Amino acid sequence: MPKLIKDGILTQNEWQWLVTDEAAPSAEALETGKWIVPFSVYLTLKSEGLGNAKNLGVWLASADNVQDLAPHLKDLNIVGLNFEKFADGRSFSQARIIREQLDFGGEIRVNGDFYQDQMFYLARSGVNAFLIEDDANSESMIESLSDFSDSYQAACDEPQPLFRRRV
Amino acid sequence: MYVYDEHDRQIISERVNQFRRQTERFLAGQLKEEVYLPLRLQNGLYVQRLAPMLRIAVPYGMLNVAQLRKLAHITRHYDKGYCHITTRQNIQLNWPNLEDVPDILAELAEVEMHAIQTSGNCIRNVTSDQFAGVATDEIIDPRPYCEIIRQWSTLHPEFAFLPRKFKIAVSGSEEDRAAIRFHDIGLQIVKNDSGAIGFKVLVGGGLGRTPVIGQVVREFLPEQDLLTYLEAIVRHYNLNGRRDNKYKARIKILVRAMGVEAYAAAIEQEWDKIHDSQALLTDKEINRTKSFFTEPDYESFDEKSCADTLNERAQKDKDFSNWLAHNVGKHRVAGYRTVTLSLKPNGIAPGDITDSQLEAIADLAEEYSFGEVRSTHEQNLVFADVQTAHLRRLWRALTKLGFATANIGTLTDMICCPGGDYCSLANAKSIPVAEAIQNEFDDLDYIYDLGEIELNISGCMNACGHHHIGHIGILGVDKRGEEFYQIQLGGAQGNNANIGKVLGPSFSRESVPNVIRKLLDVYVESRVEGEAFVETYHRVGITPFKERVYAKAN
Ligand code: SF4
Repeated sequence: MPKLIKDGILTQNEWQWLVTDEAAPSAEALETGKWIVPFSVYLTLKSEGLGNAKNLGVWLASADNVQDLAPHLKDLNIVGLNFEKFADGRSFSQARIIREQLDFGGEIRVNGDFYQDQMFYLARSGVNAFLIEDDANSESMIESLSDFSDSYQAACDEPQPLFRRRV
Repeated sequence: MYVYDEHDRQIISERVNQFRRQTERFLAGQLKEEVYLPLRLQNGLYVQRLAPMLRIAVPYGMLNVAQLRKLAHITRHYDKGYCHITTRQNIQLNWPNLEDVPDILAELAEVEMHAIQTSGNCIRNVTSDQFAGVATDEIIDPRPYCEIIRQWSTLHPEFAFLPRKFKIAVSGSEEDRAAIRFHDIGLQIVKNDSGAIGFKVLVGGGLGRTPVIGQVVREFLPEQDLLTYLEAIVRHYNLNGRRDNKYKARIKILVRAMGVEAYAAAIEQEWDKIHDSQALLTDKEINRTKSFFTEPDYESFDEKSCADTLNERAQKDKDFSNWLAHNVGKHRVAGYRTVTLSLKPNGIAPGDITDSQLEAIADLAEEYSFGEVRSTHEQNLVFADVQTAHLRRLWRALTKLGFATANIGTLTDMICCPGGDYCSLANAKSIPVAEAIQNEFDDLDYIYDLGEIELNISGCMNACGHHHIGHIGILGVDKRGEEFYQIQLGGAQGNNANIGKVLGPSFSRESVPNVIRKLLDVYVESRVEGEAFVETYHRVGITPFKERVYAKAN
């Protein structure tokens, strides 16, 4: 069972991450569990009137257009972003747009092939939850979240760029 | 020059510590090679043919004497006693030990230097004009804007894993000396009708496999909007640039696929969402940054009498006068000149420099040029502020050091990448070709008669040696496992940017100097009074050059 680092601490993971070719959760499954599903599955479930913010979340692939998510964000508590390859940096921009431009205040969770040394940047880009391997060194990963105590640019963690804070 | 405050110092030193921990994890086997790779790249560390290679950032080419002395110490202590100036104004070490790199970075941090984002798929070191602040055709000094961009791009959280590398250059003068048309983003500082400062923004230029000249996406961007606009461009690229094919991943391919108009419209749309965000520059910040690039304490001189005295001395000494004519340039301030130190003497790999030479240069810079030096994308060094009265003494000192070869702007002032001697991506060696050409053409009078010629050599398609924009470009190619060289003609940097045309089938290494000789013969025979090589080429076309070079085969 993968572990979860959320808001800088190791916590219990309550959400199941539905991978692309798995069958969509049934109405019963939604009654008893919480699911983060691919965008297309999310749209189908919603059109069937299933799921609510408490038991249904959505995750985006790197190629998905975040703007398509805009009308749905009010019904969501959690948005996932999936790293297929760690070198694919689209998730960073996706997270930042969801946070800053689409004003999403819920959980943004990354899963997949990201690694520890990207976590500081991801957190600055608006990600606040990281799904990690069961055997991952979560302590060391949490430490990486504070690799830097200051940054030049404005981002989700610090709305003012350094030049506006310099005295 | 920009001076770090406690924020800059803290960020850079935390970066050193972060990389130290990463390297320790890698050496302890806790970090996989494929994951360590982008981390080390973003700290300037390649693993090359023979050893790791460390590329140190020289932001927009500015160096002070403390930095030069530190570099001397580092090359001596951690390397083989020499380093290399790259075509992006950076400095490369060819033989550091991987385990030592965190220590090297810590030493660099002591003198406000780093190797952040000198490679990898991120925003690279911003480059500029080596004569910034002193050029006679300058509109506005580009360096404060370069520094603003440096800070914005350094450790940018969103743009560390772009589809491909991303390079920005800024020019503040009328003549473009920063090759802004061949960068992912080229910024030309302009003033509008009401005197406001802004940028003409070019996007999608680049060399490499598919050379493209950048296109204008905005004629005037007010200076306050610099960072928000850059952010819009890079965000759009991060989300839309191709990631399926490394050779099609640069922004130039995206711009071309969309068409420049649709592209520009998309950027405006992206920018609209953020143009009034906190990243909007303040006058306070622009002025704060400008305050680091004020004039040094120039003395006042009468330009005419300075020039007369200089001419008198020059008449008595041909070598000195050659040097004045080629390596010394005009200056905005009366009685001052710029001096280019040629790193292209015969027998030395272009751009290479030793530890003790670095120290000697630091001493001279202290004595003659307010303690500052600049690196150029032509792989030379510049003293930007030398009094005319000191030129002769400086010339003697530089002659002793081997930096007074009076060949700037001529055939033997070649741009040359490290090539197959060092670089694991190379198809062919480039340094021996440069050497062979220097040996073939060692007669200065002949070189001077040829006038201005830019000859650029790259060891492979990646075009680090800028072969596409050389008047004569040489490209190393692999022909059935053997090293061959393709020749291109008619490329140009600057305002009349052009991409060279391939002459024809490639040549063996031994025949290259002779082929160059034939090309030059055609020029000398065909030129009309005062015409430069590249002008003759454009007038007569490629055919006469082709015919001469391939005569036997026909
Ligand atoms: S042009 Fe090719 S051979 Fe030369 S340095 Fe660049 S990658 Fe290496």
